[in-house]
Amino acid sequence: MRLVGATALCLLFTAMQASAGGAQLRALPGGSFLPLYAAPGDTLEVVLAPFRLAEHAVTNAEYLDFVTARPEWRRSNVSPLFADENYLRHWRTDLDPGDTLRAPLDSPVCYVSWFAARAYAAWRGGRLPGTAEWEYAAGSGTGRADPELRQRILDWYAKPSRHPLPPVRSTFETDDGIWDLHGLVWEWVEDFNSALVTGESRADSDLDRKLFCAGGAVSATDLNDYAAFMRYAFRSSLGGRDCIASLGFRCAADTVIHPLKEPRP
Amino acid sequence: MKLRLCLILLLAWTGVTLAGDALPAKAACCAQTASPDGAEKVLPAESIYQLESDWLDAQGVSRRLSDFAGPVQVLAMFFTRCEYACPRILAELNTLADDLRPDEQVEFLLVSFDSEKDTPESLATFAREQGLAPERWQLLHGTAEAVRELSVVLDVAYTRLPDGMYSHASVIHVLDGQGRVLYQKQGLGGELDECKEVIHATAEKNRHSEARWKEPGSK
Repeated sequence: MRLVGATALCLLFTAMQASAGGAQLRALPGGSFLPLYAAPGDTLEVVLAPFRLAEHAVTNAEYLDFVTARPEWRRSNVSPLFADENYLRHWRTDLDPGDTLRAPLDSPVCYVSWFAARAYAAWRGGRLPGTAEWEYAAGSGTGRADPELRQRILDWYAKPSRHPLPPVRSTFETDDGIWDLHGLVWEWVEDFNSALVTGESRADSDLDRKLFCAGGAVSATDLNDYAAFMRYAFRSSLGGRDCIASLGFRCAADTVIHPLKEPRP
Repeated sequence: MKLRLCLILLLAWTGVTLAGDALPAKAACCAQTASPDGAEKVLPAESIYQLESDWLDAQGVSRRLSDFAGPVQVLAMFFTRCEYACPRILAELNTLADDLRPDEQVEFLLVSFDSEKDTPESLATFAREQGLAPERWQLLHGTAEAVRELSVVLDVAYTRLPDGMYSHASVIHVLDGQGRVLYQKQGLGGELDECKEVIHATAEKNRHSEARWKEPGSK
């Protein structure tokens, strides 16, 4: 009986973890992470606290729940401060994503701005992952470099994105149970505007250095991770209002501290 | 035993449901702000004063960005421990301040990147040391989330470095009385003449816009 009770509790807490973000949240252990960019002479490693990350990107169905509950985020109501004119442009109407040729319910929602992604995550009781968390989950900067995986990622980057988008959980799953970090959509992160290629206040005080392409690479920590360069470049090209065809998001959350141990998967 | 387990389950479940649903709604559009005379004013769609984040000023008073509606605001993001860029930003802001006539309604707003170390107390100390008069200068402390949101609205890239310092773009923003960004000066150094012109012109326009400002939905 006692054992059954304990198991039930474990299961319940797993369910709890799943409740924020719609998709199940997977616990990731903290660890040290080597950011792609580091100023020379700085402490290189970032220590990440344990966190949780949604197993898949937010789907059209999940996003429909959000705009149903929060009218201010419907396409016809959204403030131009928070989303450009492409916001949810592939949906048929405010509350109808349309048929499977437009926005299949189990495919990642795209054409959403950073502000919208953040509002969704907050609505579900979570937040967006940080760049370091996302990259860490994706295996970049952890010393777990896998040349084969890197090549597959680059192959995906080289292909035009598919329309309509395939469903979530259809590409690649990490050891931590996180799906589609590569191969489906690009994803918003909380601090997408943190990659400083030009105009930064430190590290590259010599103006001329900032004007060269190599200015960034000089202080990069892993020159072989070309896919990570592409992600940093893509993120730093974005503005918070941008709504783009192949850009979605997933939720994250801090790890809840409770007396029970994390149930093992 | 069974009863206790059921109770625990029930409690945990209620907790989950509440945590999921009890989050306050964020109005995304057309935030209203109460004017001193009590009338509701509707902010234009591009106004950054629509952000509903809470801040603390150097006196420790809770503020919303919409509290700064009215005068022209010259805004810069900075942090007090910055040794390189921020002193130069501040020097440029001081140059802009020295150029103002006493009758011009222009204020300066310094928002810190450093949500950890730049508490209201350290902002107050900084303001005192730098001789920033509280009638004209406001300094704001916010949570990491509030700072990130403002940085995205203003398009100011920044990153917290592992040693707790911040690497950031250096930008001076000129906001009109309703929180619309009219002008941004990117980078350090360079001419301030254009910035001065915008400030003077906006202060002048602002003086005559009080009437229009009250029409709901005016742009």
